[in-house]
Parts: sequence; C-alpha cells; structure tokens
Amino acid sequence: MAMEGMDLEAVSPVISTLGNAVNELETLIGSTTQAYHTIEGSWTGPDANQFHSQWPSFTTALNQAHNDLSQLHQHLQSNYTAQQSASNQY
Amino acid sequence: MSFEGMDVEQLQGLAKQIDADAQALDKLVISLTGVVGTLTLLWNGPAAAAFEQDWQAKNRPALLAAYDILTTLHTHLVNNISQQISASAAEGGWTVGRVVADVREGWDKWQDIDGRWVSPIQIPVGLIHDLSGKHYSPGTEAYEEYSKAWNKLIQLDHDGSFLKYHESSVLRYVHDASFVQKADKILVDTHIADFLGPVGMILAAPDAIVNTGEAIVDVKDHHYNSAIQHLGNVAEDEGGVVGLLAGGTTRLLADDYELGKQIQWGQVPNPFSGNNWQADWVPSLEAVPMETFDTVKDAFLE
Repeated sequence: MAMEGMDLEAVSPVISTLGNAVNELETLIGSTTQAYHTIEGSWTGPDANQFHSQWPSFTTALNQAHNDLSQLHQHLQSNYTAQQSASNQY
Repeated sequence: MSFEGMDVEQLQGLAKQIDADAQALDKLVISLTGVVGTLTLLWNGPAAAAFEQDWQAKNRPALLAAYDILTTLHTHLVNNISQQISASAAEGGWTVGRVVADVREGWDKWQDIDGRWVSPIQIPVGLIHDLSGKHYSPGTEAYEEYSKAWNKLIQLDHDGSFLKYHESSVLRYVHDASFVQKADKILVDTHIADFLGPVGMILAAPDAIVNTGEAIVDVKDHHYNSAIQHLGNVAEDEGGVVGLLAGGTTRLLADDYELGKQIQWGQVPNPFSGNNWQADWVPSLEAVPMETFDTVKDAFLE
C-alpha cells in the first residue's frame, strides 16, 4: 500500500486521533470481555442462549475493527515518517 | 431468564458498565467516521480507496452491530434486574441489613442534596443521645417522667386504628435503620419500639401527617423533588424527631420506589396502591387523639 502525496501537517492530527481510537477499542474489548465473563456462567435461559450465540460475532467485529485500524494507523505513521524524512533531505 | 448467583447490586454494576461501553463504542464510530472522511481528502490512491471501502462496507457495520449487541445486553440486564427485584420481594428476600444499608445510603444522599436539612436532623438525634446517655437511666427523675409519658400513650392509643401500621414492613425497616438505632436505648427502655414503632414518632404532630402524606403521594407519582420539598416542610415546621423519621421513611421510598411498592404489606393497606394513602392512612392517622401528639412532643421534643 503506497501513500501518494501526503499533507504532513494535515495528516498529523488524523494519525493521533486514529491512535487514540485504536487504544479506546482495546479498552472496550477488555471491558466488554470482562463483563461477559462475569455473567457467562450465571446467566441461563432462552435470552442467555441467544446472547451467548451472538457474543462471538461481537468479539470478532471488535477485534477485526481493532486489527484493521491498527494496521491503518501503523501504515499512516510509517508513511508519515518516511515522507517527513524525504522532505527533510531537500 | 435468570442470573444465578448474582445479586441486584452486581447486575446494576454490570448494566452501568455495559451501557458506558456501548456509549463509548457509539462515540468511537462517530469519531472514526469523521477521521475516515478527513483521510479521503488528504490521501489519494488505490490504498486509500481500499481502506475507505473496507471501512464503509466492513468495519463500520461491524462496529455498529457490536453496539447493537451491547445495547441489547444492557436491555436484558435492566429487565432482569426488575425481575430479580420482584422475585426477591415475592420471596421475602428483603433483609433488615439490606434495608438498613439502603436507608443509610439514602440518608447520606439526602444530606448531600441540601445542607440545610442536616441541622434539623442532627438536633433530634443529639437530643435523643443526650436523653439516653446523660440523663436517661432507671431511677432518675427523667426515667420516671418518660415512663409516665409512655404509659399515658398506651392508655390513649391502645384501641387506636393507627396501631395497625405498626405491622407495616416499611416502618419495621425504618425502625431498624441506623439513625433510629442511635435512639435504641430510649426506644427500648420506654417500650416505644414494642408499642408504637417509628409511626408513633412520625405522628408526633398533625402537620407532619399532611406533609408526609403529600410527599408519599409525590413519590408515588415519581415527583421526587416535590416530595423532598414537602418533607422539607415537615423538617422546618416540626423539626425534631418528626422531620427526622418522616423524612427518613419517605426518602427510603423515594430512593427505592420500585422496591418499596413491592413490599408485602400483609393486612396493612399499601400506601402506594390506588388511593390507599388518602382513603385509609390519612383518616386513620387523623383519628389519633390529639393528646397523643402532645404526649410525644412533651416527651421528646420539648
């Protein structure tokens, strides 16, 4: 994936925002996982069965989003650094 | 649906946490949508297009689905809490310790709401402490005086209709509350606990009946601020033990209205049901001989 021309000044705050979002997603994954484990063993009944069956898709969605955003964040960061180095050489 | 081995407090904590997580996720999706929108302006090329496509088609819907799942769980939890409360009330799951803790918590909140209430509350507690500690002991003049007062009360109100409220669960709970416990010695020594219970002290002045009644009606209608105002009138007009106990009783109900209305009232008309307060409680309380009020006031407030 190549970055074609980057406005460094404009991209910098976007990278920060994206980094914060990645961190927040990590916190949310931890928090919701903890909540689920708390109720996992004690919640019974039809509603519980429905919820237990939905939970894997929930964690998959969060984890996938976290991975994608992390990659994007790293990609933007490395391109930013590379372009900043290139600019400094001129 | 049921949660085995979890109490209401645990469920309430979980519900709060999950609601907070859901709201955080919602904000995150909004924030990220803005970030992606900004990126499309700053970043050109196939990689940018691929990322935007992934975000719109995959990541964003997945996060929104996760938000939906969390809000659904929150709804389940809130519903379950209500069911758990109903089940506890039906099984007589209220314990004195639990209610005492509720009263104590409600009391602390009350004091936090408006500092001016602290004074009329603290004064009677101090008074009762003073009576029970320094001056009130068998063989003293004070002991004889109060013994006579309570004997007179028993004579006056032995057949009074308000005595049935002594069987009220709420009044029993209030009787065991911490602030009433502070007056334990004098309550026990004068037999007021066995005979009148807190209701006898709540009835210590006719105006308190009206204001407390209005407050309970307000609580029934969920107008808590208005209820507090009515109780403020009790505290300001009557002060002393009357405001203390009337306020404590209704504050308990205001904080735990959903629990309070499910109390098993037995033979006692539920003041939260229909027109029971106005139709039954107030007339019964008003029928109490005026001399009763004076006797209680003489004994405790003057």
